Amino acid sequence: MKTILRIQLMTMLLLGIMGINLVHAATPAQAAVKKPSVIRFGIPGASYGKPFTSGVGGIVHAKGLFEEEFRKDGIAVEWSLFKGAGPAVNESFANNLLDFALLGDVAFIINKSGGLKTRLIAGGAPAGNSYLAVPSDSSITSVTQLKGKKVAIFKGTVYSLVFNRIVARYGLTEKDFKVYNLDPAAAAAALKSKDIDAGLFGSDVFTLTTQGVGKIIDSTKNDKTSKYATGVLVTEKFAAEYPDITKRIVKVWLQAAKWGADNKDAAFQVWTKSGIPLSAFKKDYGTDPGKQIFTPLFDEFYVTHLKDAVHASKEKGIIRKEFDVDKFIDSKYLDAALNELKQEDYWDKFDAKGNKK
Amino acid sequence: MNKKSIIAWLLLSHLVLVPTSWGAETDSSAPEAVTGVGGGSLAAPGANGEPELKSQPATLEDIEGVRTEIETLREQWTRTYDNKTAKTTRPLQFSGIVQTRFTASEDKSVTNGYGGFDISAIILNLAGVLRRDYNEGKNISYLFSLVSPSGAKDFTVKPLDAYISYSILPSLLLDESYLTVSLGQQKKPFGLEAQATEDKKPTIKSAQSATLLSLDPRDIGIVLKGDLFPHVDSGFAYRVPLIEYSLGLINGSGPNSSDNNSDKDYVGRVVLNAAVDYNSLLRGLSLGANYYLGRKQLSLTTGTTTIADTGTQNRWGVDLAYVNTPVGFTLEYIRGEDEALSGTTASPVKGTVKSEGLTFTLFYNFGEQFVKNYKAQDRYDDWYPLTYQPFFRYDRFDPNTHKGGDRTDIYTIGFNWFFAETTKLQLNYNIKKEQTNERNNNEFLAQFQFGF
Repeated sequence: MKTILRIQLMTMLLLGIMGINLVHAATPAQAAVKKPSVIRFGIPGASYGKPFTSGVGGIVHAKGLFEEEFRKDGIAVEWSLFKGAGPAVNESFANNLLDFALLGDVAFIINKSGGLKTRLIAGGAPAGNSYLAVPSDSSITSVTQLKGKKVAIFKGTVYSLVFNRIVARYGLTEKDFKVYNLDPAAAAAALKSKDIDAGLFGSDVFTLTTQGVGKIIDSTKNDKTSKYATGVLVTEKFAAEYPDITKRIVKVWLQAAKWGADNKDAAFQVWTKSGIPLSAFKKDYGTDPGKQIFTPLFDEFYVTHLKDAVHASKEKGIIRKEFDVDKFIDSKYLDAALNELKQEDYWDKFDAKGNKK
Repeated sequence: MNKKSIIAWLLLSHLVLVPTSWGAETDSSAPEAVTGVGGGSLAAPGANGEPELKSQPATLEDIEGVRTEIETLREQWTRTYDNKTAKTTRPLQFSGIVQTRFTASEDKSVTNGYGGFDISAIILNLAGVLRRDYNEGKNISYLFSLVSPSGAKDFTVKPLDAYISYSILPSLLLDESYLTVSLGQQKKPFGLEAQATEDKKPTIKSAQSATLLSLDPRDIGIVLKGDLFPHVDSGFAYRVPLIEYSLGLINGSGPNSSDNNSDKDYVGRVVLNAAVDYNSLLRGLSLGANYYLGRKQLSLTTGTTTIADTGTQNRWGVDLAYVNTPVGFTLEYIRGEDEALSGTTASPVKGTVKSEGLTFTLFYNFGEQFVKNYKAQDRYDDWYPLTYQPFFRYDRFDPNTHKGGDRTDIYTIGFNWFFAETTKLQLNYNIKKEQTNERNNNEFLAQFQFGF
């Protein structure tokens, strides 16, 4: 009897501990007035050992804009900067460790295709460049010469699709290469030590070219259809529970995007905190208009790009099933924030082919 | 610190720590005063009294000064490296754990009837790569560890693991099968509990079947481990093979012992995993089957006469595991068949004693430690996610299934608290129901494990 009592007591203790998380669930009546105690925002970054990143997210994070916005409400902001980029962010989403995240298009396409309950609430222009680089003394000068060689790609990120698109121009597929899954810092180190024959990089490629250890043999710089986009995701649960907070997140995001568009060089300077030098960003985006780099709109170009990317990701085996992009995008927060900030006419709009309207 | 020193430090950090120094560059054409996290501002650059950087070309004197500073710093760094850095012939990773335990038991034979503290284990690990194959990942690696075992009155040290491994198949490409061979003293590839190393065991005391059927201790021999049909979900950096297999040829005489008979023991394990995407509910589901075929020394003494023989020592088992977040379980059944001598030396009878064990563990995690990439974030402080893991275990062992009244059932209510990267606190309350004992010898154990 004594033992049974002990078991019962210990079981109650166990169930009590297990129930800690359950009691946090809010009732619908509470939702209208409830505020989260913390907003958890995930972002790829820290590739080069510094917990900062680039893009609009890099500005919001480095300047503490969310913290400033929500301080008066007593809401804490918890940033998670993932060295593992998109795959790491998705892993955390799957384990309910994030409310929001900034992701590259392929990463959030995988996220949605994988069944995660998220919505896209702000865009990031399909303006991201990628560069295929080889060691500076390599005899390889073209993609066709790379056939059968070792190439580093950060799989599960935008580079998965970009690489496929670059090599498709030459009638090749990923299977024509020995592909190694390396993050940018590891790929840069491997290129320096010549353990790989080529690597796919972003702006950080210019640190390699400046140091004289790498040279660019191909890129998406002048190919609108092969660039990558980004976007801000929110979990459906958080957006349903805290719609006002979600709208304020987008509003701050828009403020930062406009500041970046108006002060491009200053924005680049903020991005250097990520560990990539200013000269690299200038070489990469220096000639692009600020409004083109920082636009958060879901315009025709963005939506068309996304639909193409979903289809291409399925074709290339990056995802197993396609999904409805129109249902994935939830533009009401963006529309409301654009209206409140009177930014409706500030941003340039682009047609499906990427031409300014 | 003057301007020359700052420039010299920046240049030196470029030389010594190239990747981490990137971004130190500033540009006069981008005047902007960035406020750190928490001090947000979107004022236009140069506004609000923010300083604007002016372009100032370096003079020859500046550059000479920088050169001198770099030489001085290089000299200082080299001297420090020579005098204060431990060096090894090959790359070495040095780690270890210490487990400090408190035990309170109703069993008077435990800690002399008193509750008390003891050091239950001290383990030092030395691991590294002897040959790194950058092309295909066919690496040669090693692990050598020393343990001061639980209950040792003096500080005795014994080898724990001592083996060398070679990746027979390439190990760099996630979507290809892996195969390694390991030679030396190592864990036997049998079951779930027996393969868990000391620092990874969920409970303070091992499952009865793992210890009483001699599956827990290391053995000396050669073990092949591989997998087939890997499923890769690169969107979540997740790889799971459909089939994992292990095959071992070992002495069967335990750790730090030469073989005690002319036969070798064979051990094999096959695991069928749910080859699904990361975001599937079936992730972490696996079904394993194990077989151990061995022989051991037997003896029988009557009066002053002793006869010796060898007999079989066979084990087989199946296990089912669901290791996911936040809820998971493991279920393991093991059966033992041991030949034994009975009767007299004049007319010995060789019989088989059959034993069986069943272990079921149900756990619940809340916290982030078990999310692989979440804990690999980069933050400025010594951040590490906290994790709490309450669990329940039922552990049954019957040493002779043909004989009644000798079974032991242990119910464990436990709590693991992971509060730093290498540190955890374990609390176990064991309710023991021994058929050979009228009273229950319940016990409470608390174990603090820290490592480096």
